[in-house]
Amino acid sequence: MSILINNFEIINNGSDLAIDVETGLGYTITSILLWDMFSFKDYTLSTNLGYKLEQINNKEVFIVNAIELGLLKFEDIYFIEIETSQPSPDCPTCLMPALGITYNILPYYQCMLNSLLASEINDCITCNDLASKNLLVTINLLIDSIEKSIDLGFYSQAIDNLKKLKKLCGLEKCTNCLSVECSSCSKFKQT
Amino acid sequence: MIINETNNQAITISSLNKIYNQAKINGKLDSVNLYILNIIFKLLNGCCITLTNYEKQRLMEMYRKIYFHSNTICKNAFVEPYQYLKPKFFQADLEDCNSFNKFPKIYYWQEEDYNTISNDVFQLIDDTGYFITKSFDSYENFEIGKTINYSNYGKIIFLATNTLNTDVFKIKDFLNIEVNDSFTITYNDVINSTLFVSKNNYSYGDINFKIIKL
Repeated sequence: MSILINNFEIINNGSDLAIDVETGLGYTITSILLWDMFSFKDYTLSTNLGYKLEQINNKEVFIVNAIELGLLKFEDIYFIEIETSQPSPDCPTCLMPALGITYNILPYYQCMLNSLLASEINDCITCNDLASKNLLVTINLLIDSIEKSIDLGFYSQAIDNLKKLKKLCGLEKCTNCLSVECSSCSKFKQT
Repeated sequence: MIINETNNQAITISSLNKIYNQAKINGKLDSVNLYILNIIFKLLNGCCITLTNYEKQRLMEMYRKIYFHSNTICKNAFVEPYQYLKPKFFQADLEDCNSFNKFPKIYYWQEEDYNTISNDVFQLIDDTGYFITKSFDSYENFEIGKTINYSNYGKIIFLATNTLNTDVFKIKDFLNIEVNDSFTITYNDVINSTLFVSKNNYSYGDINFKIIKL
């Protein structure tokens, strides 16, 4: 692979995005575009992180602060598309960008936990509160589905499910969900 | 209660009745409950977010309650039938038979009968139904120190679950002084738990104990 993402992570409670990428020796990273889940693959809405590139060697390591992009915090899913000056071994004339995904679903785990604690499961004789149980099961299924979809590369599916999850947890007035503290908040994946 | 020749049969039947009733209420664990059991298990295993002590305790309580009624995933094997006139009672096998992990915890309570000796409690705890309704807390909280409000006069009991015969515990009072000598400590290999029964009776009030697994 001519581009390797060493790290792409939401850190410091969502206030920063850490990016660490490299390409082959003697080449440089030429472009990094950033999308959130609402603008994914819409090139007119992408944020060009080219101003962060030093291009003095084959590595680029930097932090993007949410405020410098006019955001309150980084949350949910972010995508980066990276290009290099190194030609692809399979197709020297092709442009083969690499895609990186990072996602923070900690608030939704908190939402699930809140839903669980509010479900008042006393025992199996009286726990017939199906409405709260079904909500709990739905939240967990959506979380699982998002993680599996990202693993398998079904990003639209992951985004759709995260939007549903956002709505469900919003309905539940998950007041403390967005305040989950995390120094390392997300997982990342390169495709 | 003292069991003697005149009342032993009634007491035996009464305890069978309890077990029978317990078996009756052990309803089936439907798929939703099984799913929720798994969610709780994942959360307690630290899959996702850092839990507070309160959240851990609530989840452990839920897990225990659902688990305890998990008749369909832990089918009670019926052993020796007891026939005493009518109706017919069946002794449920209380041995755990499924692979769902239990979370180690320490049960605590006070025996109201001040004549209770360690051996009495030792026999009672073979029946998990005896102590499963008692209060409990995590090992972590007992290590920090737990204040318990006792409302009777009698022996105080701790039961540390999921232990090995070789496990060593240190019990400390609120002055941080080791008080192991004040307790009879025995290991019960039927339920893999360590039992602590105070040698003296304790009266009403708050008492702080630390129980540390070495």
